[in-house]
Parts: sequence; structure tokens; C-alpha cells
Amino acid sequence: MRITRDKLNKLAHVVADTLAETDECDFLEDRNTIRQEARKALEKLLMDEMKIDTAAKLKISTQRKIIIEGSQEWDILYRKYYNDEVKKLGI
Amino acid sequence: MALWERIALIGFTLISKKDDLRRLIVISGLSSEMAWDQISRLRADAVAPLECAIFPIGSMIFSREYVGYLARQTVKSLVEAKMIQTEKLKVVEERVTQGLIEELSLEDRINEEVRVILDAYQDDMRRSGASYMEMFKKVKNELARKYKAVL
Repeated sequence: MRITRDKLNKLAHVVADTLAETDECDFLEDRNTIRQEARKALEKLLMDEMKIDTAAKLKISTQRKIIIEGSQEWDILYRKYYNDEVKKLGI
Repeated sequence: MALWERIALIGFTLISKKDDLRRLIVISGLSSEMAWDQISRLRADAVAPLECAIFPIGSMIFSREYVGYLARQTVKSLVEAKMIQTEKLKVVEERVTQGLIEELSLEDRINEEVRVILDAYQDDMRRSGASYMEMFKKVKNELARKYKAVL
């Protein structure tokens, strides 16, 4: 994952807290169980996201000319290829 | 300080429409207002009309579209696991998306605040030879502690 474990836990808290504050959402389990389930779901999704990141980096590395990671050109291409991969998810 | 050096302190990408990727100018730093101020000065100095656009560099680690996808999928898995129920799925998804965006953009907001602080002291830092990157890290850690932020 591209975020820390602490950040992942924080995001799970955000999901549980947001749902608790949303009138249109009813809890069928306690908040802690929901937080843990949200954490599991987020972890899986963010592990998959790494594949998008890797695919974008691979595309840059297979360009004819060498593009140094961190350069302006690398950043621009990364964003482009990353978005291409995201679109493949149907987002 | 030369105008281009001053520009280098600001946090945006400046791209001439006629330029190709090799001629992009990527700069790191402050607010859009300050970037436009610098661009206006550049335009005033330019011999030929200068067409350009700015794009914030300090964007979230994930795109907003991807965060929306994260929220939808997370809500979906909670509904399927029968942990929550709702008749207004879109509303719930939107709230979770906003919550995640807020949390994931927290680091950007802290970075922005650090840049504003350091910009106010840039002359002192230059005189004392302080490293911008080191100062950036120190001030960022202080602000993260202050806001109890998880980065």
C-alpha cells in the first residue's frame, strides 16, 4: 500500500464515524465491528491500487528514452498513465 | 533574486501551450493567488505573449475519482456484509467520499501551511543558509503534532 498502516486505520475510523453521523445510514452491527470491516475493505482496495501504481510506472520505464523518476516529465506521464489505469476500472 | 528563482519557490506547474513536455516548468510552493501573481509578472516581462496554465502539484496521493471509488466499494462491502443498511445509498456514498477526501487531503493542507510559513521567513532563511527542505520537514512535523494529524 502507498499509505501507512496508521493512515489506513485512520481512514477506517473516518468511514465508521461518517456513517455514524449520517442519518440515512442504519447500523446493524456495533461501530467497532463496522470500522474493522471497513478497514479490511479499504486494505484490499488499496492493495489493488498498488497494481495501478505499478502499471503506470512500468509504462514509463518501457519508454524508448530513459525518463528519470521524480523529473517533471516523469510526473506528468505518471499522472497520465495512472489515470488511464483508473479508467480501466470503470471509474 | 531572479524572477525564475522566485517562481521556483511556488507550488504549481506552469506550462506554455506551445511547449512540449521537455519544456514544462514544474515548481513547488504556495497558493494559487501567489502563483498567478508571479505569472502576471512573468507575462509583464515577456517579450512575446505568454500563454500558460497552472496545475496544483500538491494533490492527494489518490485522485478524487479514485477516492470516490474507494468510498463506493467500501460502503458496498459493508452493505453486502449486512453491517449497515440504507435506502439512500448515493447520499451515504457521497458522505463517505467527502470524509475520505477530507482526511486524505489533510497532508496537502499542512504542506500548504508550511509553505506559507516558510515563505514569510525566506529572506531570513537565505541569510542564515538554512536548508528549505530541512525547515520544511521540521515545520511540517510541528504542524502535524499540533493538529494531531496521521500522515
